[in-house]
Amino acid sequence: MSKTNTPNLLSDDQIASFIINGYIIIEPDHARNYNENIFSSLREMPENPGEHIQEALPAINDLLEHRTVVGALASLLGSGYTRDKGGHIHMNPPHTRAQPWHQDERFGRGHQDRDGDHIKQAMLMYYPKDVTEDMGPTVILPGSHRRVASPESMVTLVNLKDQVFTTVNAGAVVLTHPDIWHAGTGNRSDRVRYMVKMHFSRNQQNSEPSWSHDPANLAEIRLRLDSEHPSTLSRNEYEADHATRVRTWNNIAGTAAMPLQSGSHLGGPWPVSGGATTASRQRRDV
Amino acid sequence: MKRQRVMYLNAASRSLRAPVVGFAIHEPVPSDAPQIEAGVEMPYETVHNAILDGWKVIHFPAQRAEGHPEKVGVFGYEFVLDQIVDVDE
Repeated sequence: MSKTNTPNLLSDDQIASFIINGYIIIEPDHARNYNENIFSSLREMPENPGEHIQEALPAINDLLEHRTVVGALASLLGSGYTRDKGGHIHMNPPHTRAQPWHQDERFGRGHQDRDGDHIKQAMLMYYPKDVTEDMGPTVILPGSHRRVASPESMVTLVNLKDQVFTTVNAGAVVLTHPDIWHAGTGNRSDRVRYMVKMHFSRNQQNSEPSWSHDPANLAEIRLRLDSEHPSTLSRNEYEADHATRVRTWNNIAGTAAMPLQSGSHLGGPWPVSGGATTASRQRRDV
Repeated sequence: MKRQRVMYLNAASRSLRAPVVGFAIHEPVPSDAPQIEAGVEMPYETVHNAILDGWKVIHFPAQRAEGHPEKVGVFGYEFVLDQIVDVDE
């Protein structure tokens, strides 16, 4: 699959959003009744097929071959990406309670070597029905994919500032970094909520951006990587988080890499009283 | 009877004045554990504000040993606070 034959590549802005937030939501234009048919097939399954999703649900291949999905995964992982073993169909029946916050398989089963400053894997979550807030949507903590957190350190965490409930339209696909903090929330409705989860891996390093890149966007992208913080960070964390994001871009951008150091994040309005820029004073205050 | 109401507050740093970024309140009655819910606001902007409202800090977060300087660690610094409240038996 060459880049020119791959439709619906992500933009620079979408790649930057993925680096900053750890996820993006795409909405493939499925064939009529596609989502309804998938939902019906799921309802008729006598048991969870485990990782044998494609065998039990052949129609899911249409999703995996959809130009919007292929374009997004190729943008994130390079055109030679492949599906990993594993995956799972999640059923959240009515009247459940929320899962605890977690990173999938971050500790154990040989996954400890995942890099926080690269995009080597991606997680795909497909929802065949509209997911409303009361149906137990997946909750995500934007930016959390750069935090290596043991289950032990998460056990007391419940509601977190800036957590995002991914209420989506039927057919939507949430693509995440493999280390994003997430959880299924409680289903307070009388409707079942399904989600099909699969994992994909990069197989080659990029020598150039694998998405729709325009060098003219670099300054704007750099500004976003330097200044956007999806969750509140301590002063120590600002510098580390910023460096990790720029390194992530550089690890996937090939010839479109950018210098690690930049002074642009010190710009902005003058402070009310002297001594520092407003931006740096805000960082120092926490 | 009097019982201990416990609140975890995760702040952005060890400072009492740092923004609160996570919380969980455990009521001193038989109940399910608190869970993630949509539309929930942080109960206090800072740990200091919680103290002003009568909560007492019973555990302060330790200063973190520096590991890899460019690793972003776990989420927030965990303060544990309590209030003694009257509960109907």
